[in-house]
Amino acid sequence: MQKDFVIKAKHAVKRVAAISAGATLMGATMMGAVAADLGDYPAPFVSDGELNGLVVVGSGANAADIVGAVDIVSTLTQATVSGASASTVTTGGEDKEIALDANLSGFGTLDDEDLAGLMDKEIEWNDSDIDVHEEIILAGEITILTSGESNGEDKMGADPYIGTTGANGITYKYVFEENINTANQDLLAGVDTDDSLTISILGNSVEITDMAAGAFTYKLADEYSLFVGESVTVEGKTVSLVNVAEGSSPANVVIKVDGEQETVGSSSEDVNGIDIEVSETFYSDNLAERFAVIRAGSDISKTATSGEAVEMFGGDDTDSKNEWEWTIDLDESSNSYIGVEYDAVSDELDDNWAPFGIGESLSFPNDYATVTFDSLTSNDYTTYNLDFGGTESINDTTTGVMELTSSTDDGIYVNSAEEVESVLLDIDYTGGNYSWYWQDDDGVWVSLAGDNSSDTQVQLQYDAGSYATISVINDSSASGSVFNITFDTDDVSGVTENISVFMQKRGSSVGDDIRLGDSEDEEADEVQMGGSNFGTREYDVLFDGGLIIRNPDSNGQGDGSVEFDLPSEEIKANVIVSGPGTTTTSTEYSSVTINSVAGMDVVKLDSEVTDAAAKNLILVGGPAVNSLTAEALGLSFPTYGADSGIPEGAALLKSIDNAFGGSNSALVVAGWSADDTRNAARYLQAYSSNSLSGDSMTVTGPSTATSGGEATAE
Amino acid sequence: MTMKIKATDIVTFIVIFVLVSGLTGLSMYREDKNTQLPENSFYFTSDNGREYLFAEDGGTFIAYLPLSTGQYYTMGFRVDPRELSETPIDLATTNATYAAKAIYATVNPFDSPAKVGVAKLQLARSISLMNPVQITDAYTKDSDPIDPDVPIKTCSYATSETLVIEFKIGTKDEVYLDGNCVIVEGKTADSLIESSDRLGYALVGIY
Repeated sequence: MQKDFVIKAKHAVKRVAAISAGATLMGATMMGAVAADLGDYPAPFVSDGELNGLVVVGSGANAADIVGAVDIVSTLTQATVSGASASTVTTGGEDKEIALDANLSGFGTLDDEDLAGLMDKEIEWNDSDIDVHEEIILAGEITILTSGESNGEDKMGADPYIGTTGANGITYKYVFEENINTANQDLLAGVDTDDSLTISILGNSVEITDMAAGAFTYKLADEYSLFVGESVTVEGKTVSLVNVAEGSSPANVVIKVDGEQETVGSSSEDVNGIDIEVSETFYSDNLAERFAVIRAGSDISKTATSGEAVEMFGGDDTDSKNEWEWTIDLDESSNSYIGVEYDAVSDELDDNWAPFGIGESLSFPNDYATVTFDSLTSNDYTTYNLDFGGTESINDTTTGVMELTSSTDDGIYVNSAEEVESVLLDIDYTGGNYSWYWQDDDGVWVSLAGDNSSDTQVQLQYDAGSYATISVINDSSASGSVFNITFDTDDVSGVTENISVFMQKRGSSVGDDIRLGDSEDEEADEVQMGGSNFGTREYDVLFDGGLIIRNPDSNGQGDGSVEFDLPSEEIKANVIVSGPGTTTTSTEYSSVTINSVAGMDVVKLDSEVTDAAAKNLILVGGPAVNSLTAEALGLSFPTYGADSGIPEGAALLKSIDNAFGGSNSALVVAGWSADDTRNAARYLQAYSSNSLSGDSMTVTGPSTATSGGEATAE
Repeated sequence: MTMKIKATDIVTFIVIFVLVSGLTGLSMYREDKNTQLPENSFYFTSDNGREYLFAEDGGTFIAYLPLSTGQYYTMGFRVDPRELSETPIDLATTNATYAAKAIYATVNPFDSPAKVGVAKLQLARSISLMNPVQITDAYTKDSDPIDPDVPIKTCSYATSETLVIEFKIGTKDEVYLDGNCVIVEGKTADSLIESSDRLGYALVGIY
């Protein structure tokens, strides 16, 4: 059974929701406008987010006359939507949101009910019906890797990856559900070259000629049917059938490989470096009618052994050079299997088989099934910066301060009362006290004496109404000028640790600097996350939940700064597991994001419009090619050249109220030539930057127009 | 003679009452539900398993595309969605369209009656909804006289990022990929419009 799912583009929803409000206002403006003024375009064709009109082209128009109309149609359509609206719909796959500190074992064992294309059927084997199925297993060894956690490495920076911390993270199995190795049904022992078993492993048809508990032998060489005199190229060598012996099939044949000739039978022979084996023969008195079916290749067969490299799909026969390994257990009372498992540790970006990042995948051989790191669930962050070494004139006193700023104007919440973009911290060199300062709406400094028993004096507002508290503590083990400031980032869902930064007032004067750490150079312990040192990390560091500390080493130099990005919600990985029948094909509306509600336009020929008064019309093409253009302009159809009223070498944009007797409008986009019509279309397309005004404009170039124009029969 | 009411009669009465009430309620529910539907409406189940509401209006088939807000985005097509299966489509053409960073819509300047233009314009609506990149008109060969403002783009120009969509009147009604190029083909200009709507539908998730 196939299964549908939708990955919701949450960030897109948020973005569009914001834009939607603007679009609604824009639509309201359009609704109130007078339709005949070109300055109101795209009204009345798009109003209140709705596309209410037909684009009409002349039935006698040719390709050149219509070039340019695409600009109008696409621009109008885009005017009905805002922002990206895409979400991925994958049919026949399995998806999960995986926390950044989690592994992928939650997918568990996936079969045909989870992944389209996996097989679940009955096969006939030596006159026995055996139920078989395929499954994909994800175990704890395949996991999300981040630079801030122990399983990731520094170089991963702010990007999460999926990798493996041990073998067997992902496994494919072809499962024989019933006992194939019992005394009365010893199917394994019955497999040989005469009674071979053909099954599909990872989508590859495999003829098995021998089976044991932990191994099987399969035909490797391709099969060729040749009449006498015919040739085929195998491994770069020419293999020719010279003759076929009389007798029951398979009889001996004479084969020539790159000039070297030998007689070969049903047992394989090496002929000039190519293994040849005869499968079938047909003998006729007529030499030209004799043919043979042969197998030819560098090897006729190969044995797959559990724990050894998978060569079947062209992989290297050396285990260390092949990430895929056979896992075979055919000796079980039920659910014996032939499997392929991922045998590599992929936890460093320089690994032979490196972890894969967002938009990348890990595929089984033959691309039979795939694990894809599709996206992150959100990218909504607030950036906070602690800047050391600066001074500020506070009430005419130059004060050395640490400045905490937010990327949003309400990212800091002070004194449980006010939202601000930045605050200053001042340290008393000798007293072990500190103060907060910020400016109110009038630019007046507000001060708040530090209270180290309270962690809510200043808080980070990382999402509307959601706060991470801040503690400032005098480090009593050092001199009185050293303080630790701790951001309780674990208040954010999914973030499990807190950021601590230590700083020092450099002198007893009020104006003396506050610096990061207690020396000029960056120090490992000056920035900590959950008690671990990160001050000398030379890359961005990504932690559980999505929190990012930006390049501590670089930022920590000199007086230093600390920058970190706090997510508005826990950020997870969207992971998709797909099978051979999975399609990730279409963008789906049902879970997202178009802000308007109608785009009911259909493009029509003038000859198809039965009631021109029923809708607002955009008439593309002049009165020579579009009968409705002629009618709207009060001209007979067709009207050519100067009689059209269109200036030579130019085009007309003309808005006509009640053009066909109703209450709707028509907009004529008509040029002296097709080129001129195209210019008018392009001018109209760029309506937001071009100046459209009045009820008529003469267009002389793609971006050149003047108000006024004729083209009527008046 | 006194008439005795048996317990079985009471049970029978209750069963009949419940059945009649239920059927009446169901009838009213259906009537109420139907009155909320647009006129001439029907449901169409896409191959992806999703059900879409359609209304027919004067030969235009209006698809009601459900939004996360609970509203619908309505979009008109010329072709009845129930006839979509008659036109084969490679759904990989939709991925190519979503992923494109530039799109050329190209036609043969000598073999493109107005309906070919309609096919192109129809598709431009769906593309513009899904991918806000510029769609540039193009020819597959020089026109006569040569129009220097219209670029020549054939399928050989297409890459994974630059999509060429060729509209052509050929030997079959089909939407398919030729390398990185999307071919919208019809045996006639009318069937080319159908092929174009086929892709237009698929781009919004209906196939």
